[in-house]
Amino acid sequence: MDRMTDPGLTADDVRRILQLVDDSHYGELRLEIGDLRLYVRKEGETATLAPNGAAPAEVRGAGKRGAAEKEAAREETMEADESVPGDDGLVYVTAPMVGMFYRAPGPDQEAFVEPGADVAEDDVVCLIEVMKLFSSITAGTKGRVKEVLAENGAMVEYGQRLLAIEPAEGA
Amino acid sequence: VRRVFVANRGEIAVRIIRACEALGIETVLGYSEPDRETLGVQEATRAVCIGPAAARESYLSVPAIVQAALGTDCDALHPGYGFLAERVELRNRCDEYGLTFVGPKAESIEAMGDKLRSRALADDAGVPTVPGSDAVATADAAREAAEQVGYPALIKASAGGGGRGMRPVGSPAQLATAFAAATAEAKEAFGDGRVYLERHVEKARHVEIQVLGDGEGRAIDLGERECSVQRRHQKLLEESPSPVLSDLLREQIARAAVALAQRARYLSAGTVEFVFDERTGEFFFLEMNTRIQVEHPVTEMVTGADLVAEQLRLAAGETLIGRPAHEGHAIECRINAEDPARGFAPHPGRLTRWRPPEGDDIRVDTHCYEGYTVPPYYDSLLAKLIVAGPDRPAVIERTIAALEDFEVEGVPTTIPFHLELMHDEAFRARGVDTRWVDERR
Repeated sequence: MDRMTDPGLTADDVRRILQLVDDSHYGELRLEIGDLRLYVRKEGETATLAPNGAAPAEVRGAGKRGAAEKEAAREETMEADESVPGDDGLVYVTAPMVGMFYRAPGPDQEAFVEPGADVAEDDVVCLIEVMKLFSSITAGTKGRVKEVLAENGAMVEYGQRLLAIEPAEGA
Repeated sequence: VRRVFVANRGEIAVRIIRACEALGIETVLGYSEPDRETLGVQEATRAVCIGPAAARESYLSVPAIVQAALGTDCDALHPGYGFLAERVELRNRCDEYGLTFVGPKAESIEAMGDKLRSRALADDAGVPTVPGSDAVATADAAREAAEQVGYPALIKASAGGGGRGMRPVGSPAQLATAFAAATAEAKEAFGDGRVYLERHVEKARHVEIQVLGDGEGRAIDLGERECSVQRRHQKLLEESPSPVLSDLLREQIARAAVALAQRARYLSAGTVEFVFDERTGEFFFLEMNTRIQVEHPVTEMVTGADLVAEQLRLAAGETLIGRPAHEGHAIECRINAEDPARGFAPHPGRLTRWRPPEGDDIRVDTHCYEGYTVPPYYDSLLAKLIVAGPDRPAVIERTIAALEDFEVEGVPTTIPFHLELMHDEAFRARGVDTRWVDERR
C-alpha cells in the first residue's frame, strides 16, 4: 500500500475501506474521489488503484486512445496472472479478462519485455485495460520470452494467448 | 444502429442476432468460455470470449461487456433478458461510452426495479395495486401491517423478483418466522433486506400486458399473455389471449398498462404484470419488467409484430408502430433440461438427439442442436415451442402433436409435463391458477 501518493486517501483509509467491503455482502466497490479511482473486487482477490493525474477522457477502440489515457497505465495495479503450459514445452501467458492489450506502461515508453528477454515469475510483461482500469499481467514463470502473440493496442479475448515463454531449467 | 453487441446467451442471443440480420445490422456476441459451441457464436457476425464460466466474471460483468463492445466497434448493445438486462449500471455505462442501449431509459429501469417505487408510480397512473404496506423494518411492524392488509398476506422483497425473498403468511402465528426468513433471503439474493406486505390473492391468475413506448409519452399495448402455469413462481407455459378474461376486463387491464407506460414515458418493449383474482374479478398491478420477456413470441404469433425488431427501431429513434390487430390463439411451452419426475431438477448433458417439430404455425426458438452439450452453469431453457391457431382448442391439439414430434435424447425435458398438461381437463377447460402445479405435485 506504499504506492499510494494521493494525500486525500491514506493507506489506513484504504485498509478501512477494504475491511468494510470484506465485511459486507458486496462483491465489488467502485470509489471515485476527484480524479482518484479505487476499484475493489472481492472474488479473485483483485484490488487496483489508479490515482490519475490526467484521468482518461474516453476509451473507444484501440486506435482512438489519447495520450492521457496511456498516462494512467503507469499507475500500478495488481492482478493474479494466468499462465498455461502448452504441449510444445512453452508456457503461455493468457488474458485473465477481456480488454485492451498494451505492451508498454505508456505511449512513449519501452515495452515491458521484448522477445529474448529473461523474466522472473513476478515480472510484469504487459497490461490489460478494462474500461480505464489497468491490470498488470505478470510472467507467472521464470524463463525467456519467446514471442509476443497479441498486438499492442488491440482487444484481447478472455483466455487468449498473449506471450510465449520458454521456462528456465527447473522452473 | 450499425453493429449491435449481444450481451446474453442461449436462445435469446440467437433471436437477437437473427432480428439484427433481418434488418441488415451486424452483431458481435460476447460469450463465456463454456458457451463457445453455441449456435449464437456460429451465427453472429463476430463472437468474442468475455470471460470464464462463472456468470459473475462474464455475462454479469459490466466492465467486460462494455469493453468488449467498444473493442469490437459496436454502436449499440442489446441486453436480452436476465443477466444485466435490468441493471441500471449497464445502461449508465452504455450512455457514458456512447453505446445505444436497446431498452428503456435508466429512470425506468431504476423505478420499476424497486417494487415500492413502481407501486407508487402505478398509483399515480391510476393503476390498481394490491392492498399493501410500506417497507417494514421489524416483525412487530410487519404484524401491524398484516392487520391492515389482511390475511392471508404475502411478505415480499422490495428489490425482489422471481419469488425470492417472498413468504406467505396465513396467520399471525406464522409472521415472525416468515419475516425473518424473507428478510434474510432478500438480503442474500438482492443485497437489500427491505421487505413489505401485500394481500395474498389465492386462486390468482398471472396476466401481463406487452407494451411498447417511444420514450416521449406515447405507448401502445399488444394484448395480454396469461402465464399462470408456474412452478415455484417460474413460468412454464404462456398463452394469449387469456382463457379467463372477458373482453371488458381485457380492455381495462390493457388500458391500465398503457397508462403506466405513458406516465413513465417508457421507451422500448416492456411488460406490465398483473395478478387477476378470478373469484372477485379484480386485477392488481404486480410489477413492470423493463426488458424483452422470454415469452414474447406468444404475442408475436397473435399480432404479427416483431418485438425485437421494434426494440431496435425504437432504440434508433424511429416512430412507434400502430396498435396491431389480434388474431387467433398461441401457446408457448418452455422446453427445459429438467426432470419433471424429479422435482424439475435441472439436468445438464449432451443432446444425443435433437429434432424439433416443424410446420405451419409452429415456431421453435432455440440455441441447441444435435450434439450440443448443455452446460451446468446457466439456466436450463433449451427451447421455446410456440404454436398458433384459430382458437384455443385447436392450438391445444396442435401443441400435443408438436410435443409428440419433438425428439430429444440425452437429457430429460419438460416435454412430458407439457403433454400431461395439454390433456388435463382443468387446463383444457379454462387454464389453471398460479399454484396449481405446486399443489398438484
